[in-house]
Amino acid sequence: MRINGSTVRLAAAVAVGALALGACTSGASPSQSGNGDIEGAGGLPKTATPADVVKLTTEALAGKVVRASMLTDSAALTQNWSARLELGLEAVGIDFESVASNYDQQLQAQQIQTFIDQGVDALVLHNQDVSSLASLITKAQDAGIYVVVLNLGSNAQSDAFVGPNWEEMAKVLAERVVADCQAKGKDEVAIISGFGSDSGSVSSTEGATKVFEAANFNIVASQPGQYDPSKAGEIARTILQQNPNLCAFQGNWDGMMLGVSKVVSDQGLSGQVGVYTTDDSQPACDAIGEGSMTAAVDYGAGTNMGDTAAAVIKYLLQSGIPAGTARTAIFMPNTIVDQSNYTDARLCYGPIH
Amino acid sequence: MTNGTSVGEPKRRTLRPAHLDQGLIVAALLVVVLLVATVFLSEFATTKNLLNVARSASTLGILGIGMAIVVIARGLDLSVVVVMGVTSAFAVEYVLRGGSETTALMWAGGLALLFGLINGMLVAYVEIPALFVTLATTLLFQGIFRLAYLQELASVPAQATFMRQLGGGEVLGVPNPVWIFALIAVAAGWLLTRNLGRYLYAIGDNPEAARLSGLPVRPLTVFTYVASAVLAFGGGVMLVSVAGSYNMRAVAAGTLLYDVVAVVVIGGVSLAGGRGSVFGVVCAALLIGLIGNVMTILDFDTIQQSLAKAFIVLVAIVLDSVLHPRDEETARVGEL
Repeated sequence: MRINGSTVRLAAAVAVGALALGACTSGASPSQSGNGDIEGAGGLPKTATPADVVKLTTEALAGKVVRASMLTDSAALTQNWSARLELGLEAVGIDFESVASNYDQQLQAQQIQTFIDQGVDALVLHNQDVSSLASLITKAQDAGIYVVVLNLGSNAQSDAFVGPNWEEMAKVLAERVVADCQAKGKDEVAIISGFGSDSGSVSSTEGATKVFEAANFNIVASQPGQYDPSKAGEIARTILQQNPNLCAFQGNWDGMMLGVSKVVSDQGLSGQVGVYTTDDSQPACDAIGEGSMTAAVDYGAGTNMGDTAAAVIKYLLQSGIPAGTARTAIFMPNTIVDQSNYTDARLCYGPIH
Repeated sequence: MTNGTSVGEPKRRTLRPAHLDQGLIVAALLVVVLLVATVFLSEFATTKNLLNVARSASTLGILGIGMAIVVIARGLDLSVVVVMGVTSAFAVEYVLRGGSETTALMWAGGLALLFGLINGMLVAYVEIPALFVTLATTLLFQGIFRLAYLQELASVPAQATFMRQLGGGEVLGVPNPVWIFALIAVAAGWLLTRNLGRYLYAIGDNPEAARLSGLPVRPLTVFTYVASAVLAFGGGVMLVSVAGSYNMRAVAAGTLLYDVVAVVVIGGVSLAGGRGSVFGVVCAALLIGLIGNVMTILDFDTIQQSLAKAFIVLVAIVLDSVLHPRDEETARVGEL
């Protein structure tokens, strides 16, 4: 049979098109096990021996590629997330790597775009802001990639969000502040937020304010500490000077609130003026042990969160649910950390060297 | 060489006080804000609160003085905040890993010297523009140490007694940071009136003329960057001492560099070199500290704070523009 040039070109075009279609759809039907009850979905058959379960699960997960994009790799928080993800995912044969952007949004966007282009099976994103990664999350899902967002959710709903309920966390902490202050017969409190306008700050401030107002407390100041311990310390010093009857500072992030606890301690007011914070990295727990910080909220940041994210990814990869359709939020439980429990091994996380 | 004055001014020495050091204008603005706050805010004009203002201005002021020394000699040091953060964090981390505090501070001081030398040599001898050099070394210094040695945040440990007590202590009722700021300001102010200072103004005015008249321009340029780095180290030790911890996230993502440049510009140091004084920088740092204090007392939110700060900064610049009009010198490239 004689094949002319135009036929070759047509055949080549069809082949390239078919390849491209294959590439586009390979990620869109993520699980190949296909044993679940929903047509086209993955999962396991109704009955299976333990050996079959291991075999089917291994077949569904081994060789899958998961990539994480963290804002930093030098924070104990993100080091623990990456370590727990690596442990949980590599144990079942998933190829996992984590990269960091050093809080550079443009660099993070480039990293994520590269992962999308590479056609990974799932992405874990550490979100800086509710809107910054929204379009990339949608783009990844359209390409059949599952997206799990950590710590701070996005306006574009990922397949799963794993992190704290910021407002609830602040409420739990504020309730502790109210109880402690009522026991002292005081009702003046100050709130130190992060940048003030970021969603973590807004939600935390709202949560704390609701509780303080319900208790008829006087919020003498609500100031942005800009996630900077020295700035927060300066603010605290001025607030203390202006409000000698202040009962407590409640703040959003322990790294910043360490500056406040230092000022309170330097002025000899530890115990009289409480310092309460969200998150419980080791330096905050050390401050609780010394008595300069009163209490913190643990939301499993250093331990359970990474494990939970790994579990969600393994579920998604086996489920057969198309990327972008699950859209779930998994809020971590809150635990108050104070002098009674700060040495508990399940709380207070440190860096991983 | 114009120590606080401008080249073309004798022609315009009329009713308009163009010959005034801009520091005096900032000082006047400082007094006005101080008086307004005293009248309208109860509990403002107490000794304790005014010392709080001075304390909150001290780190910014020390960094500003270092930057001013560089800028007067027609340079620019954008790495000043990172040098501050990395060297002080290194000292804390060294103690956390079991080293003695004295050795930690010596190593960290040595690092600051090295950073200053690298900046200075690249600008003076390799002749790369200061903007590019210090932008690159900012990333370099930070990157190397975050990769190899530093955490994102850590508390100053109990065994680091000097660093634990420096920021919180006081002498004769005045906080240590205020004393240190004052001593550095007096020393730097004195230095700039000596021969060394005059040389720096001369280099800033016209580097080529300075070189032709026999001044060792390159070594002096290196000196300015070393001075800036060492002062940044001092400011950093004071900052970790006040905060009780180091925080590389605040160093990387914070706005301190903006404030340092603002203090230098508001204080009347010409970015074209050859003009400015320590007095102006001190007044500008106190003004920024004062605004922060007043805004905290008034419980301004983030947007209100940004607006108020921008307004005061604009007033300072407009006042300068009216009282100190542009001429051939101030119209040079790089002038704001």
